[in-house]
Amino acid sequence: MEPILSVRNITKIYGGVTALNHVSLDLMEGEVLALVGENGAGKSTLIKSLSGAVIPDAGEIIVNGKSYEHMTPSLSKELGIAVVYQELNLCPALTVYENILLGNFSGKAGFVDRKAMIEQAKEVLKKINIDLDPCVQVSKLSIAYMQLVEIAKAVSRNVKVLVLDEPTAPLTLTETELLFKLMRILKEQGTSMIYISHRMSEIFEVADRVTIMRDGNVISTYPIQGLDEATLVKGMIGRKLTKTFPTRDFEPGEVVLKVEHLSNARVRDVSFEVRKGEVLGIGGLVGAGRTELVRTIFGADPKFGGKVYLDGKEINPRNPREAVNLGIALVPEDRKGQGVVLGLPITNNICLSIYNMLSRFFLVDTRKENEVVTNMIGRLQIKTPGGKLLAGNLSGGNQQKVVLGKCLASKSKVLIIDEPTRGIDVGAKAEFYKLINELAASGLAVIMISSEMDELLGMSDRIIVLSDGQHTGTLEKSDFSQENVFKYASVNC
Amino acid sequence: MKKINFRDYIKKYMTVLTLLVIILFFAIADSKFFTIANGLTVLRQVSMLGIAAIGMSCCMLVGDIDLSCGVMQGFSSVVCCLILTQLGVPVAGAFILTLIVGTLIGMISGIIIVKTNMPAIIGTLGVRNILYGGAYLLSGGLPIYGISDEAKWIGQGTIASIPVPIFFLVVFFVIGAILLNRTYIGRYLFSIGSNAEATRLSGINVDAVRIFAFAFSSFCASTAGLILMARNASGQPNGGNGGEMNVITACVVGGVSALGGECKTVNLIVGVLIIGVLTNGMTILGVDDYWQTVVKGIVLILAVGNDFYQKTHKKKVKVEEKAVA
Repeated sequence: MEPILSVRNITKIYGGVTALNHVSLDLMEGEVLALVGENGAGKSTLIKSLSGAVIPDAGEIIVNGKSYEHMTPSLSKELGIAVVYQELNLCPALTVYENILLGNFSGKAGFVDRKAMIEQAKEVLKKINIDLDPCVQVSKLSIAYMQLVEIAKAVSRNVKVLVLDEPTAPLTLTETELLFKLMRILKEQGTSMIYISHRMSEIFEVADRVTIMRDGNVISTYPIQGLDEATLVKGMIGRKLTKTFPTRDFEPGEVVLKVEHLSNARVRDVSFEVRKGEVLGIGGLVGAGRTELVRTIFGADPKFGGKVYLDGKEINPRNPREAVNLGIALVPEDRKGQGVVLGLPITNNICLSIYNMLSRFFLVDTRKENEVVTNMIGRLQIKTPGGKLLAGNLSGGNQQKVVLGKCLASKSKVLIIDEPTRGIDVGAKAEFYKLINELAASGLAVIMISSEMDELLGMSDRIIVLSDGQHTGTLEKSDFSQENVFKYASVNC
Repeated sequence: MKKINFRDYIKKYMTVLTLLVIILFFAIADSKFFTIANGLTVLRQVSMLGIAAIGMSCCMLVGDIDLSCGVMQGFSSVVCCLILTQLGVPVAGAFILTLIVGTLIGMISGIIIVKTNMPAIIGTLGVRNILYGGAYLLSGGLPIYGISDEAKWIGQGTIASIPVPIFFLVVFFVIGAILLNRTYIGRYLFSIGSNAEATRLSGINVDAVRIFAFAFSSFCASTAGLILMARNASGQPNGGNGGEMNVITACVVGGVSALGGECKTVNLIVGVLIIGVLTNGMTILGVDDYWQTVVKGIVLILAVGNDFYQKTHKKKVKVEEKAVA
C-alpha cells in the first residue's frame, strides 16, 4: 500500500542549530502514528513543515504520490493536511458553526445563509458523532469541546491527514476518552493521524505505530504490537552525553533563597532552597510549571500561597521592580519578547535596571554608564565594536549575554536563568556555560531551568524536577542520570 | 554598494529634504514667503504646535497617544483667564496654577488609562470631550476677556524684536531633548516603546513611566494654552480644538513612530516646521482653509502609512534572513 504522506530527508537548521536532521517517515491511510520525543526533539518543527509554517532547508514531502519541496499554509490545507495545535486557532466570539465553516461560508450576494450553514455544521458534527449545538458561542465551551470544534473544522474540509499536537495535555480523563472515541471514528473513515503526546499509556491505547525522535533525528519506528514502555523510553532518552562541561568545585555556602509551599495558577506546593555558589537545575517537561514557578518568585506572576525567604528574611515581591531591588534577577526564556530590547543600543539594555542608580537629579551620568557597559562587554566578552550598537544587530548568543549583563549590573544575589541557551549555536553555548560557572563561583545563587538534558545534568549541582506543577523529585549529584530525571518528570503523566 | 549608501543617506535626511523642497516651492511660488519677517511669523505660529508636540512625542514614544492635547490648550486658556479675572491672582501665580491643573488632569487620565489597560486613543478621546465641554461650561460659552497686558506678554511680547513664544518653543525643545536623551526617564520611555515586557521584567515601573508621559503631554499642552490665551488676549473655549491633528501629524512627519520606540528631537523640530511652513505657505498662496485641512490629512496618512509600511516590510526581510541562515 502506498503511504498517503511521506516525508523524505527533511532538514531544517536555525542559525547553526539543527532542528531536523534528514528526517523521514511514512503515514499510511487510516493509521494513527504516534510521534514521541523529549522537549526539543524536533516534533514541532516537523509538524510545522507539514502545515507550511516552516520551510525546510532540504528534503521533500510526498502527498498522494506527488512530491513537494515544501508546503505553504494554503497548499497544505488544499492537500487535506490539518494541524490542531495546543493553542487553538478559533474565533472565541463566533459560534460553533461559524468556526467550523470559517472561510467556507455559504450564501448569496454577500449575505450569509444562516440556516444552510447550521445544517452543514450539524452534518459535520453528526459525521464524527459529536453532540454539540452548532449555535453556541465558542468561548462558552470547555477546552475539550473547543478542540473537538477545531477537529470538526478540519473534517468539514475533507481532512486526509490530521495532526494532533499534545491534544490531551489540558484534558481530563473523561474528556480524553471522548477524544479517543472521535479518533477511532475518524480512523474508520480513513483519516490518517499523527499524534503527539508525552503520555505513554495514551500512545499504547490509540497508536498503530510509534516514531521516536531525539535531537532532530528519527531514532526508529515500531509497530505498537510487541512494543513495551521500556524500549520506548530508552529510545527517547538514550542519548550519549557527549558534550563536556567545565568542571568546578562547589562548596555549599549558606542558603540564599528558600521557597516554601509555593503555589500559583500552575504550580502546587513547591518547596526548595538554593545556596550561595550553587547552580540549582529545574527539570521537567515543557508545561510542567517551571517558568511559572520562577516568574512567581520574581514577582511577575501572582502568588496564591507559600513563602519565599531571601537571606533568611521573608520577601513578597509584588512586581519585578521589587524583586530586582531585593537582588533577584531573571533572564527570561523568550529572549526577544521579554529579555532584550532589540531597538535599543547595548548600553541602554545593560543599564536598564540601574539607571536610577546611575543618575543624579534625573540626569544620567553618561561617564559612569559607559564605564559599566565597557566593563560588562569585557567581562562577558560580548562581540561588538562598542556599546552603541543596537542589540537587534547582535547574534542570539551575544543578545543573551546582554540580558545576562543587565542582570549582573544590578548586583543581584539570585540569578534565575530560564532556558539559558535556547536558540544559541554550539560555540556560544560553551562560552555561556563557562560564564554561568564563573558567576556561581563568584558567590551568586543560580537557578537554571533547562529542557536540554545534557545541559541540565552537566551544569547543575542539584536538580529539582517538576511535573504537572508539582515538585516530584530532587536529585543530588550522585543520582544524576537521564533516567532519573525522566522518571520524575513523567510522574503525573 | 555606493548606491545603497546614497539611498540610506536620503532616507536619513528625508524629513529635512522634504522641508527644503516645501520651502523652495513656496519661495518660488510667492515672493512674500521667503523673508525674515515671514520666517519669524512661521516660528511664532508653530510655537504652540511645537510645545504640544514635545509632550505628544513622549506619549507616542511609549506607544500611547494623547488626543486631548489640542482641546487642553483652549481649556487651559479658559482656566487661566478665570483665575486671573475672577480670583485676581497675580500673573505668575495664575500661570503656575493653570499648569498644575493641566498636569493633574493629564496624570489622572493617565492613571485611569494605564490602570484599566484601555487603549490610549479611546481614553484620551473621552478626556478630550470632557475638557471641550468643560471649557464651555466654565466660560459660559463665551470668550473671557479682561486680562492684563502683563499676562499678554508671553504671547504678544518680543525680546530683541523676536516674539516671546519662539523663546518658549526653544526652551521646550531643549527640555524635551534633555528629557529624552539625558535623563533616565527618557531611557525608560525608549525602552518601553521598544519592548514593554522586557522593560517590566528589568524592574522598571512601566505604569508610572506611562502615566508620567500623559502628565507631561498635558503639561506641555497647558503651556501652549497659556500662549494661546496671551495671543488671543482672551480665554477661548474653542481654542486649540482640532489642534491634536496638527500635533500628531508633526510628530509622525518628524519620525516619531506611531508604533512606539522611535523619536529624534531634531527630526521632531523639522516635522513641526513642515506643518508650520505648509500652513503658512498655503495661506500666503490663498489656498482655501478647508483645502488646507484636506492637505494635512493627506500628509498624516502618507507619513503614518510610510512608517508602518517600512516597519512591517522590514520584519518580512528579517524572517527571510533567518530562513537562509
